[in-house]
Parts: sequence; structure tokens; C-alpha cells
Amino acid sequence: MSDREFEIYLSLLSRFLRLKPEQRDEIADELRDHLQQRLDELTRAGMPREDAVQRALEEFGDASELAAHFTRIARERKRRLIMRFTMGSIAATAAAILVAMAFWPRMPAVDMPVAANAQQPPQQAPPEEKSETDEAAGKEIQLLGLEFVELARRNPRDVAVEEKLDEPVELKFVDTPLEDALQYIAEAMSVDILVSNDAAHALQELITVVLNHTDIAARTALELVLERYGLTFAVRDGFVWVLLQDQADRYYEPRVYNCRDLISDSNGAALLGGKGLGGGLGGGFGGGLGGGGGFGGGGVGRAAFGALAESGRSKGKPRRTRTSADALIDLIISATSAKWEQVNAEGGTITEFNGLLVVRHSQATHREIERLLKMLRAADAEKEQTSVAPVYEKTLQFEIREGGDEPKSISGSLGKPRPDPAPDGDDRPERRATEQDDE
Amino acid sequence: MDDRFSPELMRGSLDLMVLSTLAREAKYGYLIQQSLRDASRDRVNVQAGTLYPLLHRLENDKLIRSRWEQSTGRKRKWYELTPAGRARLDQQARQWRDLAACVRRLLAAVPEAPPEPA
Repeated sequence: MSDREFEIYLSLLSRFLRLKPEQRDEIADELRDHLQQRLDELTRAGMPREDAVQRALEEFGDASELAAHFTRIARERKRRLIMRFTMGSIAATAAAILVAMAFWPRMPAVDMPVAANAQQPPQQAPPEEKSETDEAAGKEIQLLGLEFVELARRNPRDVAVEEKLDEPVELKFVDTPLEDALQYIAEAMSVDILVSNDAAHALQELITVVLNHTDIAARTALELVLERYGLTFAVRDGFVWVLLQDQADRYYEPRVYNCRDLISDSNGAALLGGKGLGGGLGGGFGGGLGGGGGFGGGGVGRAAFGALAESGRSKGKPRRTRTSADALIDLIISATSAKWEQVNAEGGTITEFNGLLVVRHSQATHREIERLLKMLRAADAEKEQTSVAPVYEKTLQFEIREGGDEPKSISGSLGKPRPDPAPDGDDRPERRATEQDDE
Repeated sequence: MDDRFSPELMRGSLDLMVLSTLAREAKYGYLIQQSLRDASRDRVNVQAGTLYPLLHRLENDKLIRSRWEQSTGRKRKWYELTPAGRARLDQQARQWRDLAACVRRLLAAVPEAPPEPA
């Protein structure tokens, strides 16, 4: 139905459009529709067809100029929504390998099934040489501490993004539009920030941000900036998604926390002797991972294994753990700021299964839970004064490295370096701190 | 076409005018252009080459959203106001009316010329 001249113009326009084929087609379709209607209108008013065609085309103007307009607009939308992507897959793999290096030296009994899921482990050091492997694996261990079990199981790109978000960033926003603030953070941390459609509706230019911080973790900056406007974020598929807080439940993940050390039997003794076990396990853990899953990042490799054997010895008395498991669940529910189905009739779920806590909630809540569990274990360990103490030294270095600007709910006991020197652990904190200072 | 409004006067109002054509119902580009012409009795005649980039920009700014509708073998792109767009429209309409009232008051000092012969 459309005339040849229209198609010539439209294909010329398309060629000038520096956009994706779908976008080009959409623009061409829209303009074609208009041209046809305009043609009808003019010819119905008596204009000869050829003149009408020419007139209709003239009203669109020069094809290259028009194309430039469309291209610019489409690019701007792209720029706003998808910030600079500088994280190459090489970097992601490198980060993932480092994570794996941190992970595997501490897993004595778990071998290749885990490797099948992630990347090749560069070396497998026996667990007694814990200190050497610490050095070998480098500083990443300090950062990951008890949580790294969960991190290692997640999509390596997500892991890399999470690490970047933990990096400090310096910010000064004065009446900065929220979109620009997000773009700044995205570029500074070399991460992608995507905005969900509904959140984008909320992101009007009218929202501006005032924030002045030096050396704040990028994650914290994001939380501060977004929270005020009913927004939150989640890391998925290597992107940072900005969502409405109401939508956060679409991004809930299940994670498994080994809490056998915290759930005591009726005598009040921890099932596994209070050793620091079990961070959370990432959502998608398959068979091989499930096997190794009992051990957390506590890095007390052999000890952890031994401890699990102990639980076998206690003949797995699930009945008796129920009460304290319930208590732990209640504690988590009351100590986190999130909504829980058993309490609010909406939100996430938390259930216990043989000393394991299965939690389905947002990433932010999972972080809260991890911190809570860390604190509980640190309190336990202080009482016990066991050889596990050096582990908590490492967790503490996590704080030092960030310049102590950890924003949420780390209580005093974790916030300062331990005064009593654990064997061998004493000069480590300072040494590590100095190493990091030199970066 | 000679009695069209001067471009300077129009500049800045075009967004408001386009948004207002969508106040009551969704429209596609050609209809929007037509509404502007009809409402202004042909004095506001936005060229297609201006209108479509403008519509795309408004969509970028999340003031309007689009959807394709298929009917009788043809796809047509319809536009409608978003909540943000409606808010912007209300706000700008209010400002416009206020501005018009101010200017009218100022113009009390200026004698009204008889309408130009068509």
C-alpha cells in the first residue's frame, strides 16, 4: 500500500539510524503509518497523489537530521538505564578464581563436585597449613570471612559485582538528580546499574540527592540514596537492579545457613562445640554443593569436618534442637528489619531443617542475617576462647579494611580489634591492615 | 500557514500542548498532530519531523508511554500519559495559567489591536 517514495525515504532513514534493528524497524513502522495517513488526508482534500507524497515527506524533513534526533534520544535512554559496562568477562573470571582460591583450601573433604560448578581451583592446600593458604589466597579471604561459602556458590558475575559494591567510594552529591547519582556510582565502581520499569517511573528528574561522604562502601551509598525513595537494589545476573521496595520480593533468593553450632541441644551445649561454621549457601546449590554444604567459611577446615562427625555421633537428635532452633528463628525475625510471612503474612520465609536454616528473602535481608549470625558466633567464641579465634580476627579485618565505615548494625564486639592476643593472631591484624593501607 | 504562532512563543509550550492532547485519551502520533491543529484552528501546526522526536523524548522522560496495537494487519503506536506525565501536565498547566494571568494583567497597559484580516 505504501508508495515507493515512502520506502526509499524510510530505508534511507533506517540507514542513518545508528540503532538496533528492532529499534530501527519500530521507528520506520511508526513513520510509515503517519505517512500513509497524511497521504490519505491530502489526496482526499484533492491534492494529486504525487504532490501529496512529496508534501508528506517534506513534513518529515531531512532524513539524516531526523535520524540524528532519534538516535540521540534512544542513546540517551540507553545511557540512563544501562551505565558504563567496563567489567569484562576476564575480570569476572579472575575475581571468581580468586574467590575459589579463598574457598577451596578450607574445604578438606569437598573436592571436585564443587569445581564442576565453579572454576578450576588453582591449588588444593591441606587444611593444617591454614596460615599458608591464607597467605596464598591473599586478601580476598579477609573480605569474605564467614560469608564466602554463599558467595562462592553464586553466579561468579554476581560475586564480582558484590565485591565491587563493598569497595569504598567518595561521594559528594548536592541536589544531584537521582539518575545521575546512580550513574556516578555505576561508573565509579565499574558496575552496571539497571532500573526496573516501575522504579524508573519513580525516578523522575524531580528527585535529587544530597550526600556527602568520603570512603563509604558503594553498597551503603546505594542503600542510602535509594532507601529514601522507596527503592532498593538486588544483584542478579551480574547487574545491579534498582527496584521498588515493594518489588523486592520478586528478587527473593533461598539460602541455607548452617546453624548447627548455634542450635544447642537441651543441655545447652552447642551441637558442634561452638565452632564457627556455616555461612549461608547460595540459592542454586546443586547436588555436589549440597554435599559440601555443611561447612561454612569459618575455615576451620579439619575442625569443621570433625565437628560434623561429632554431630553424627550425637545421633542427630533433631527433636531436641527444635526449641532452640525456634528460638533462633524468632531471634532472626525480631532482629531483622524485614517482613516475614509467619509474622506479617507477607514477606520472606524462614524454616529450620535439621539444624539448617532455610531462608528465602531479599539479598539485603540475607546480609542482615549473616551479620547477625556472625555476631552470635563471635559472642560465642569470646566465651569459648578456642582456636577458632583467629577466624574472627579475619572477620574483623573486614571492618578495618573499610575504614570502619560499616553502616549497619555491627555491634561493638565486632567493631574493634580483639584485645587478647590469640595464638599467632596478634600481629596479623596490624600486618594485614598495613598491607591494605599500602594499596 | 501564515498566521501560525511565532516559534519563540511556542518554544517551551510544545511539550505542554502535546501532553494536554493526551489528557483525556491515548492517541497515536498522527492523531496528536491533528488534535493540535484542530484545537488551535490550524495555528499550531507541528511538523511530523518535530513531533515524533518530541514524542520519543517525552517517552524517554517517562512522561508518556507507548504501546503497539495491531488491527487489520497494521501496527500502530499509541501514546498515553503516565502518572508522572499527568503530574507534570497538571503542574505545567497550573504554571501556564498563572503566567497567562500575569501577562494579561501586564498587557492591560497595551491597547488591543483589532484582529488581523484573514
